[in-house]
Amino acid sequence: MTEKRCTECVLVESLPDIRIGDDGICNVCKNHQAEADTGNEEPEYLETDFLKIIDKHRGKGKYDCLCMLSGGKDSTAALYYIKEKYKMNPLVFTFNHGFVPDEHIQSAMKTVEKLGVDWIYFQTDFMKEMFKKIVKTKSKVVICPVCSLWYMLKTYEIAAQWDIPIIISGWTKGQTTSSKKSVMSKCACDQDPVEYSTMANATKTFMDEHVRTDPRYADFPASMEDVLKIARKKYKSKAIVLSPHWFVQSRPEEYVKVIKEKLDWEYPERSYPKKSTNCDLNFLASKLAVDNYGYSHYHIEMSNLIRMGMITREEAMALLEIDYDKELLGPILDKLDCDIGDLKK
Amino acid sequence: MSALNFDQQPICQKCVMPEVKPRITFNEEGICNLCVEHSKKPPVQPLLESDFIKILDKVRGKHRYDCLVMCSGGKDSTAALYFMKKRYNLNPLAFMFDHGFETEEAITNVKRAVAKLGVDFVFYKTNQMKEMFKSIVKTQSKTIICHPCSIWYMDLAFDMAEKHDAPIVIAGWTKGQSEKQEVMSKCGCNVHAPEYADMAKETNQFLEDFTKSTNRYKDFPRTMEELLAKNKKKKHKATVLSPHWFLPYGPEEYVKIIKEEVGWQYTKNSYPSKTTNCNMNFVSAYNAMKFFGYTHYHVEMSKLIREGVITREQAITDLKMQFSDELLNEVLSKIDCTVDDLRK
Repeated sequence: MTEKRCTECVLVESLPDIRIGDDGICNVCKNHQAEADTGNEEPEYLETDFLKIIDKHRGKGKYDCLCMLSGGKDSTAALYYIKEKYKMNPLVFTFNHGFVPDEHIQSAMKTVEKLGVDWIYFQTDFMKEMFKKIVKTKSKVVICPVCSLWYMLKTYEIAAQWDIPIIISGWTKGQTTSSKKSVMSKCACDQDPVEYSTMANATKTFMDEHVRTDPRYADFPASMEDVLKIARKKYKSKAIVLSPHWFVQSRPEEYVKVIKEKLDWEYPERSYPKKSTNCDLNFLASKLAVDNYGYSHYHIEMSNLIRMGMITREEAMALLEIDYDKELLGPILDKLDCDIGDLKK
Repeated sequence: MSALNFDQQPICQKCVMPEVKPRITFNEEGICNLCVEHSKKPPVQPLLESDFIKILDKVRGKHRYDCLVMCSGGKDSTAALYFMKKRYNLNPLAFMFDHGFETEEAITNVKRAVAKLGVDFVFYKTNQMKEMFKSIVKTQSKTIICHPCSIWYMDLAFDMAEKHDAPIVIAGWTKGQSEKQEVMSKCGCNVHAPEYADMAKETNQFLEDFTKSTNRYKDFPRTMEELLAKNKKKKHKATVLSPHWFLPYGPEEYVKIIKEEVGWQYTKNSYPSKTTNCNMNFVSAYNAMKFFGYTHYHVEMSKLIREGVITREQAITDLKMQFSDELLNEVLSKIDCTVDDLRK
């Protein structure tokens, strides 16, 4: 490989967005350092801030909050804290667009059973055609951000249906760069940073060419801002999105220990990156992203975590290694009526 | 085996009802008054599939989903889902609820069917009913658990239909579980029929007391009528229908179809045999036998016998109670009870 990788984080040179300097350090790391040097960093959110928000809504409706649960460590821990530490009465929500391994669903089911909380599971083929188009048209769009528009809108819809004021996600600090306040209204990845800009442009192009033109997806949101607009106007939802991980300074290894002990939680057999609980389609999404850009959205996330000192670069490199091939991708592509040949540029 | 030996009491020579005076009595030939009255009634005009299609066509494509199908994982509702998608080409939302007593096999049946049919699926698991079930067992109430539960889940089904903008609620009810047209507005069992009158009285009394004394159930509807009246006032009105009322097929025909088409399987253990009822149903059936001498399944199967859908021999076999204390204890442990609570 001739790729140039930043020696501080795990991003790869990808012009024009990511440039690795002669010192081996990328522009994103340099900007981060420069910002830190000014001392203008946003103050850390405190647990008391979180408590203030949740106490305002506690006990007012049938459910206090809607917890998004993938069955992974972050969302399982978030749910665990919501129920056991903050004593809230959550409705749990798990979705499946057809690519969530059964193992993850079983894990989610075990967790809700153990915690004695109510659970909504929603399964649909609605996204399949869009995923198929992404592969068939060799679009450079990264599947996950598009999918997140869909599942966030679905989550707001369910929050509205059940009249729930707070949506709880398991997003970690690495998934939420810069200002947390802006993320609360934007959901998950803030696509503004430079690392995302080319990916975000590809999303926009794909939306214009293949989504807007398909009657099946006529109402599909164009952006996270659009999701919010639809949530507020069409669903009349005032729900806010929060993650306990933003407010509590605990590291993954700490809460993994807790959920293993209390909920018999285990790492799933297969997922990318390692030790995550992402859907099967994610193998494909990550491979395509690395092929197209040299790095995936997980490289961005983990680079953020490295800069925050939450994991080491070595750990990130090990977790991000792509050691899967057509044997794993074959059956996933099958479900989309595609094959390995469709991945060739 | 169960300490009560239910299978020894004499039953009607034509159906499977025992003599329970004063509402159910036998004549000299050993035939119950329900069968005698049924034979005097003119034969019921069968509902036509074209009527069903007319109703479906009126709503087709006008809502988010054309209908919400209540799925239990059993043969009747799985076939109903299959028909809605494949025979009538509708866009159904499959809905399954689990109050904590559904079996894994039943859930697997639904998951397999929705995956094969490519229909959207909502599964709602909740602990809301546990406290009520526990109170029924602990207080030795004569309430047949299935009755308040059916009021709850019909309320939930209407609510789900509203949440997902589905104008029709499809149930898998068979001809024996309903009075057809009458049921379209009433849902499920006709509690005013003589076979149900005593049971219904107990349910009603229990719900009156329980909902008054237990704050979290204060909005629980006391009767199916109350629930239906509540739904009539809603903006979103859903009609309840079953394709089985309109189709000429018997269970053996559609079981064959769903086995082939959606990989459906019988569950190992359910009461009556060859059904896919929840685990709490064992307790419900046990109590029904203990307090009334027959279960709601005896009522249902007797109707099916009278309508010529199944034979009396088949019903007798399927209604045998063969569940053990061990099984009952396992179910009851989820509500902190044991068989001793049933035997007090």
